[in-house]
Amino acid sequence: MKMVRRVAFNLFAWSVVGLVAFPLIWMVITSVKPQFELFRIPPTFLPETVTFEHYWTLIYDTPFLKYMRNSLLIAFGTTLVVIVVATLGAHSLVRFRYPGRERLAQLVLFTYLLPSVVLVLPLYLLMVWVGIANSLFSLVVAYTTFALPYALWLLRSFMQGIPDDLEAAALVDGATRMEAFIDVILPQALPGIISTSLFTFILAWNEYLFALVLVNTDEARPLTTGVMNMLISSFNIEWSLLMAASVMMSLPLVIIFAFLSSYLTRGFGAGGVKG
Amino acid sequence: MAGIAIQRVVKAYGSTPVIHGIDIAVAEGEFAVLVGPSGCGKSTLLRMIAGLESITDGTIAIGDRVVNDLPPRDRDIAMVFQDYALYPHKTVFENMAFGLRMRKSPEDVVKRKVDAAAEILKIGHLLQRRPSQLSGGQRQRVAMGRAIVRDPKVFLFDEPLSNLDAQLRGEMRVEIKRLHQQIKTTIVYVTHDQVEAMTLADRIAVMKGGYLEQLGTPDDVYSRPASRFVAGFIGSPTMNFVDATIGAAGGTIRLKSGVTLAVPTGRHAELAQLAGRSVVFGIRPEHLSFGARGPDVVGVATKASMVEPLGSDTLVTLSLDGAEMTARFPPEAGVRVGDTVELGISMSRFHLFDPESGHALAVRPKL
Repeated sequence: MKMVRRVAFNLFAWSVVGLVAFPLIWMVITSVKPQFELFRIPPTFLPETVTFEHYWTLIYDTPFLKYMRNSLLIAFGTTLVVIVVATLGAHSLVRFRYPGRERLAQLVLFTYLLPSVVLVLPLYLLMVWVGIANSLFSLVVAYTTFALPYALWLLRSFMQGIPDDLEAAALVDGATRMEAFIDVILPQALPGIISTSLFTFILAWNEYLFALVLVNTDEARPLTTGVMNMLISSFNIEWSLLMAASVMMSLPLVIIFAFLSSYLTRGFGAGGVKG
Repeated sequence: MAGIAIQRVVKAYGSTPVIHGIDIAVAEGEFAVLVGPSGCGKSTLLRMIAGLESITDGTIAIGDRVVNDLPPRDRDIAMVFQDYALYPHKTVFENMAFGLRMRKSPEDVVKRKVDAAAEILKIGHLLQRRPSQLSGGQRQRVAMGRAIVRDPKVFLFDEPLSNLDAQLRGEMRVEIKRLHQQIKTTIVYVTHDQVEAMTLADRIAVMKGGYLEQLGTPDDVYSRPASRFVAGFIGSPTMNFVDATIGAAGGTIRLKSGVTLAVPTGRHAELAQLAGRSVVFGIRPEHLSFGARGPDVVGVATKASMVEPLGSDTLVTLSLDGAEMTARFPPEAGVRVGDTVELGISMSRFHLFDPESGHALAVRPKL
């Protein structure tokens, strides 16, 4: 009886996994099918011939690599800016007493109440006015505006878990505030910093709306809008290329997840309980 | 080594004062204990000495240097925290070496000093472990090791033993005392445990509500408490207090319950000026005896209402017409609940306090 129940449970669990993973599997399979096999009826599940031609086409005949470079620069840039500012900001919100401290933390979250669609036009006008419109930097700035509040709150709940006395001990031991921060606080906050970085990176990597509005040259276009622009037109969708592009777009995230997923779940757990 | 001079020190958070102008001078090499109930300001005062809290008013000097505006690292102090505050990501060696490395000591000096401190504290075999792999007592030792490697002018201890179990606490108390005898550095030690205060201190500062109630040797605070609060806080079980009135010419004390106690002639003069006044009569359990024998001991008939055997002694709660007193009897007394007991009150050892202010009224002469 116990055995039956376990088998039934496993079957159920795997069928749910299969259901969720099916689109991804289909994406990979489609990307290696030759064009003529795509629309065959009845469809084939496993490709009869495996081909990587779509990948080569993307890499050699389209600006795909340029978009990839842009996306990497934007995602890493945003992550760097957000982490530096949010780590210092969270530390300040947790450790120092100043008037309006709580109010400030709440105000930061206020930006979250506004839908992105409302923010995107004013932000665009602001970028034009400052003179950075249509650049990679403009996207880094835009993504920072909505990644920072969440990062700040996530890191704040992490920092609250670090005992005050740890920093006090370092100060008494002869460290300056900065040395205590780097030598003692940062290593303790590392799991939080990693999960916040992951969150920010994914956010910047997948963002579409701001990229669509703020940037309209191939020089600054990230993968999301670049691939859409290149492969989807009113008359035609290049399914094979689109699937190959999707596989390659997912790769960086899959790699990062594989290495750091334990940090990510830990981070969301901590944030959930204390935030 | 250096002494510490705390002069008229005030601490306020906004407009709420928590320390109301305290003066304490700790001599070079002295072991001073700040003791008091939680919230009395003792830890705040310690953190002000360390530089972790700002000083609202007054001055604190370490040696002959006023340190009010110096950051902690320039005060040449070391501190042991209640929750140890070991750096979790560093090994025991790195924890102990941190202070020296921050001060840019050469690596061979760091190694030599850490090894020497580890030997004193018997933690040499733990140097490569991380704090999470240590027991509470071992962590406490590492925290002390981290303090002594630096060879500071002053050690500060913030309730270092309160996270340990009773047995370990006793052992570590002995070690701390031994350590002080060995290195003879000035120590300021904060605790809420009066046993720690009595056993460790050269001098005790008893604090309450941000005020200094009494500063004196353990014998001073035990035998000559300056207030009812100090008398009740120091000593276990706590001192018995009974409302009373002083008789004519200071010859008798009449307890609230109606019992009249004769005062030995030696203390008449001292009590004469209090004649007719309402007072609080205080006497410690150890100054109450089973049966009235010996000079200056007055016998009173009482009834045992509770018996707590401790093995070495038996604590007996006795009622005398409404008032209750706890006495420390030898176990051979064999008192049982309900027994009628002749209680001997040692009239050379009582204390009197003002019922309003709680100040001590009659000061028992030094024996």
